[in-house]
Amino acid sequence: MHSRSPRPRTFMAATAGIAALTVVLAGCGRADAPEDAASPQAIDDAPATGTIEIWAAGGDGEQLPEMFDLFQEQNPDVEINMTQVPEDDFVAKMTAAISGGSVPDLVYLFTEFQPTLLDTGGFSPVPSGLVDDAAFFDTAWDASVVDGVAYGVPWYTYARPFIIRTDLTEAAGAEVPTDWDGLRAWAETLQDSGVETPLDLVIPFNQYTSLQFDMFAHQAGGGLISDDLSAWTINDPANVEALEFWGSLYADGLASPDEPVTMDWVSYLSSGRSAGLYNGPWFRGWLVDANSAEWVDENIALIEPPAGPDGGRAAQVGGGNWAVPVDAANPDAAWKFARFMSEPENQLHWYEIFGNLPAVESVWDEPEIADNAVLAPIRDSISVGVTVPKVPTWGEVGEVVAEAMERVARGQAEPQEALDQAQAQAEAIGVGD
Amino acid sequence: MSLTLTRTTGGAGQAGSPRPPVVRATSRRRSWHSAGAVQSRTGWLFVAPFLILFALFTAIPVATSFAMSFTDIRSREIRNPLAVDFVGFDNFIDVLSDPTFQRALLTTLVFVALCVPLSLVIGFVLALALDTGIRRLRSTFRAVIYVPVIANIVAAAVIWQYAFTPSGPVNTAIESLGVAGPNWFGDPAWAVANVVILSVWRNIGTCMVLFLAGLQAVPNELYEASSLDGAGGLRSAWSITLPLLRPTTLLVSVLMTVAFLNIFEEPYLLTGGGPLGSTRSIALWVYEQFGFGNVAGSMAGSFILLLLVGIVALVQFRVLRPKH
Repeated sequence: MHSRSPRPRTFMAATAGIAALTVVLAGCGRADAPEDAASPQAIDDAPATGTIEIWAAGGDGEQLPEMFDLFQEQNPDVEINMTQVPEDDFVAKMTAAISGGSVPDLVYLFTEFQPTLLDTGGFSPVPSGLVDDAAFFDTAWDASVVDGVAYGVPWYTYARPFIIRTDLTEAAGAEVPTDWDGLRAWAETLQDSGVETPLDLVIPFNQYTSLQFDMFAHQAGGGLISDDLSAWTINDPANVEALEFWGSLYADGLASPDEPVTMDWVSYLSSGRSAGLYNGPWFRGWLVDANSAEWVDENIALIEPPAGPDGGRAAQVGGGNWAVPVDAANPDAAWKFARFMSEPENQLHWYEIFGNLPAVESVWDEPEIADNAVLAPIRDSISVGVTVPKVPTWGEVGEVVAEAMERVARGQAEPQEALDQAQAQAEAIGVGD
Repeated sequence: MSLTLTRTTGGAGQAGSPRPPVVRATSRRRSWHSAGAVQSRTGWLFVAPFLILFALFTAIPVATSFAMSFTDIRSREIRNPLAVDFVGFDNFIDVLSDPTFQRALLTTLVFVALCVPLSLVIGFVLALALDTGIRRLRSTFRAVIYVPVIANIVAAAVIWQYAFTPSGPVNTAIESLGVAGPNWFGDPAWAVANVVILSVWRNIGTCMVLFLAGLQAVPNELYEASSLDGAGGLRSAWSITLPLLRPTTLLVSVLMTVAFLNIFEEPYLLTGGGPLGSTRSIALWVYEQFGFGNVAGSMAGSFILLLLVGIVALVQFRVLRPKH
């Protein structure tokens, strides 16, 4: 405990430094007018050049190199480097990249990420004339529109169908459900026939659970946020009704708050420990990989999500948009790749590679898709699609709602009480305006 | 935290000392060419690489985030961080009155209260066993106990997740004993226990190695002398081993306390903070808030954590410092 004398001086120096910084910061203030968005620069038809750094999340990235090869055939002087970013960390990593100014040239933003990330102001508007916005599904195009300005080019879109084991349903003598009562009766019958947890709902409880609940809420005539996105409506009576139904599925053991976790979804459905779940069209491909195409054709059906008590139809829709950060080093080539991915033949090609559905509406008339009976319920569902609440605070509110749902699922709270509390917390968080 | 540690222990030759005391005392009176001044410049030259790295990667970011914690910055302003308003201590008041943060604070303290003593005791017992008990395969045992420290935590957590699922191998083993296995990830108390087990498993190797080094530094003559004086094993352990291990115990307990106050990977990878927020630590809370766009709040939260770590480390140094 000798040499303690330097401490006060170091402490003073540090304090002085911090004080100086504070003064600098106090001197600046919030600008009254928002920063003008950079005027979109037109993108020509010349081949793309240079290097494109791409960040992609999820399973898309694994198959993307096939599309890179096609793009490079048309644009021989372009290099593409892709980094796959884990889905759960995408928003935090992208936020950090934007604040540091070292960003990729092009990112694929899932619909769920867009409200928070576009709010950073870190993305460039879509250059005028790059693509025809009328060619895309409205839900897909609108996902990236903030204050009338579009920040992304849609790549694919989907609705989440109810994926059901038809063989187990038949064997148990149950009816394929078309509404909530049917869903409950189906699950009860299957459980009696030996299926452990017939319904596989999204766990662990996070904002994706909340999005799934938003679908139930819409089926009951409710929803988590007002139509004009100005206020949270979490404890709306229709939502309470939806949560009562949803919670009863757990209370009666038809769904489990603990199993199966994400990585077990395929194996539980394949082995018959569960018999139905809401998931995207790509799930069929995972089942084919785990079993075989014949097995899937014989035993699996994709149906429209069962409707609410008064016939309310709703399905979760999602997808995403290609977006170019403001600080991108090679925005020209990045936008050219985004445009390339939205061209009808490439939209169709991607469907053939990965099973993701075109965001360009006309491509749905191509025989490969139009004649595919499996896809019909998905197309029908897109028209009743429920998308993510498009406000920057959704990420945080989604977790609040998820915790309310977990309390109900674990029998620790009544739906009304849980949603009242979530509403109060959500109001404190606000809608981020 | 390395700075606090090295400064307060006053350890010679550690990188954290801002400047060598010998130079500091006399440098003012020396001219540019005097031996002392040359020595001083050489000293500065040697610490320069550290100082530059420390400034770039620690001091500047810490000062910046400290400043940010007094503003209303959200993710909307991250590209233009000066366009924000100064809000004084509002963020700190908001954070401290946020029930989610209070819960995270409590959870973190529970982790510290459980993990630190467990890691220390198990690490010490293992070190003692390796030092005196086990003769054969000593280095093999030492290596095996140390493996979790170097093992990849992500891989470990994934395996852990599988092992502890309701019908996973751990519960199957428990059920074969005729007892129902707990719901490791669904029951808040068991989820905390699970995170504790993983973190302790991961840290006992470090404790063991440090205690072992301390034990081997205790001179054998003392034991010989005490046995001549008629002291038994327990007596010499109490009067020789433990007092001489005081500096080691201080080091290990401070290192572990700081590590567990900052606990992040284990709950993040294993439980994601659930179920019902029961395993959300302060560090995880900070990370989540940043992801939600609440930049100012997350900065304020991390400073409260830093303050907490500083206070706890200081208290430990006071309580456990060597008595002369």
